[in-house]
Amino acid sequence: MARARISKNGIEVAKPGYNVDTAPLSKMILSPLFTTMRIDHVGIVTVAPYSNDGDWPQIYDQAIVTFPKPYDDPPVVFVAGQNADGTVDQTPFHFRFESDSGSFRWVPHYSIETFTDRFELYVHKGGSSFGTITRSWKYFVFANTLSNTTL
Amino acid sequence: MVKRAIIDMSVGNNKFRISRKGIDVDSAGPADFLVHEDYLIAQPYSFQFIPCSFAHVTGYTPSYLLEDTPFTLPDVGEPNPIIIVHVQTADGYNIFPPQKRSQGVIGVGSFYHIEATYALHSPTSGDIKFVKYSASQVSPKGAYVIAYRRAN
Repeated sequence: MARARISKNGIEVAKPGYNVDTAPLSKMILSPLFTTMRIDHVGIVTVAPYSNDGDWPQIYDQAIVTFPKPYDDPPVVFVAGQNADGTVDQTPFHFRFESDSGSFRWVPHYSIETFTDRFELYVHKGGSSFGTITRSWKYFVFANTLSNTTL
Repeated sequence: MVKRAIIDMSVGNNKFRISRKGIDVDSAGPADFLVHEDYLIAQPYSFQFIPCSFAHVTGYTPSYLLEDTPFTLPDVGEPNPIIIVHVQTADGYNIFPPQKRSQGVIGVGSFYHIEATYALHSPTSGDIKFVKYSASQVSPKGAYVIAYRRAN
């Protein structure tokens, strides 16, 4: 029983225990029918205080990563904070009291703003009930497979 | 029918390529490969842009807009898909996590207070909930919805 085959459609690999010639799509590990997201860039940046333009509050630090070549459409970027003890931080939001509105709301722990030529990473400065938030963040830039971008 | 794959593991070549559907692998550009020996890849099973129906609305009136926009996913036998949403602003850049609330002078420039969240009703259907809050000068343009199978 073959789990993998190469045909004019490409490479197809079925899950263990399944025959690639008869396996339904749900039992395929790799199929040309699925979308792919190519990893274009990976790296680590350090966020730091910056000159605020009024768009983000002063309680965030910033890092900007410029792409070697602009995309047609913004790519997909993910990040993970690199803690000193080897763990990673991917907290999306904090729940806190907002003095300006007098109410509780969710506020971003970090935020990625992705343009065609760069992404800007904003990370909460931490402190108070937030604790210490790492300044060192690993990033992953995936090609936007909906666009016809060339590297 | 076009040729979509090259597997050549002979010494000095090591080509391992699959082009997009409808693209000839021999003439494909750098962005036209699903698999290429020089690239690391992830393989979600759906990647789509869902437009926001009130994307054109600017200013404070109406002050608050919320709309559930349906989307569908292909049936690949995944009962509990992993969904990731990136909201796109009216200015054309993406935000993740999918919420933005500008902190500045309300009424100046593109003051954002928008978000896009999702709800799945079945493995193949769900809604994107677009919101423009009262303090927002602009609305979301739409959202990217990416679906992954679980690794089991």
